[in-house]
Amino acid sequence: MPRKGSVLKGLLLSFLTVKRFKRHFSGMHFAVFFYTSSIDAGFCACVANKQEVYMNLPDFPRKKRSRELVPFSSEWFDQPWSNAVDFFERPFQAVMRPLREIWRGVSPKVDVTENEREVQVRAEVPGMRDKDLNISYSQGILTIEGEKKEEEEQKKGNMTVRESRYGTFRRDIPLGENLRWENAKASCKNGVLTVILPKKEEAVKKEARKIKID
Amino acid sequence: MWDLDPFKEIERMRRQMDELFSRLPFYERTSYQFPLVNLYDDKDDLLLTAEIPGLLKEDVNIQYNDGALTISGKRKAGAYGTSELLRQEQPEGNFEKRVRIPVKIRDNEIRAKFEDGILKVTLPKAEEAKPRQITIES
Repeated sequence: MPRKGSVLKGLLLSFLTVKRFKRHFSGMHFAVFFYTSSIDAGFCACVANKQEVYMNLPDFPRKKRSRELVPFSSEWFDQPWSNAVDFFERPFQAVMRPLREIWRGVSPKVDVTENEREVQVRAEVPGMRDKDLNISYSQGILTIEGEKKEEEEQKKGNMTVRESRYGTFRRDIPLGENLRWENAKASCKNGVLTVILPKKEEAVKKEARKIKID
Repeated sequence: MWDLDPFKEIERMRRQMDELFSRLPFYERTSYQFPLVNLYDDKDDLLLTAEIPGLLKEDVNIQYNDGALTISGKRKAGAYGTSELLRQEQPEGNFEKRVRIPVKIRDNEIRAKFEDGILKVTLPKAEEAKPRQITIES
């Protein structure tokens, strides 16, 4: 099954899956299906992909997957939903949160680069210092939280042009498990936050080996 | 007809529209191009802030001309050396932004400060543009 189908493919797949596993689905699941397909048919392909979750009702087993180093592959594709609430909320939040923050102009723009030893994350955080930022990680996801504040001297006047916005933001950047997270280094200079994450030994020595034919 | 570059034409048209709109007095908004700009109107001066993260003082060029402030510069390409880009949200290359200043200012007293990726330009208002207190005669 494809990981990320086109819109048509996604719809077709979900339709076929529903048809095939009809007896395993309750009315709620159908509702859920149509709810997701109304947001983005792309999700349906991924629902079809995650059918094993729904086959083993009611205990919703959480399958652990090894995450490769694919930054920003969206969360929905990588983790099965743990419960129905999550199932409803996650796509919604995943779509709404970035939209809201882009609209507000608060969320920092992020560049991710990689070389053979480390992964570098650079985020634009103009006007912010170390104390305004909070960087954390869990389960292979780097989280940058912070608050963009308007300075006192700016507040006194009326605003005639307003493009940059102020407020709190949060960005999750999935980077995978095979990094030495405990050795991560971060620095903030000239309005750019740089986080450097060294790779694990086994990830570094990943070159292809030749196999002899006997 | 076919030797026209449609993208260039669209871009040119868009610029013209922006220019046209920026002349309208009620349409003070500029396009949301890099760098993002705020303009604060205080009693005696105007304060313009622009978000230019990652650049140095020397890389930014500010000009005041004909009632508009122009901020230009270059965001470095290939700053990441041999590293492979996995995701890029920050564009690179030249940028230029023109912000119309709505009131008359003393253009020889403009001061600029660049700190933590934020450029702050203070534009003192000309005498005739300052608000004047009017006393009511009894």
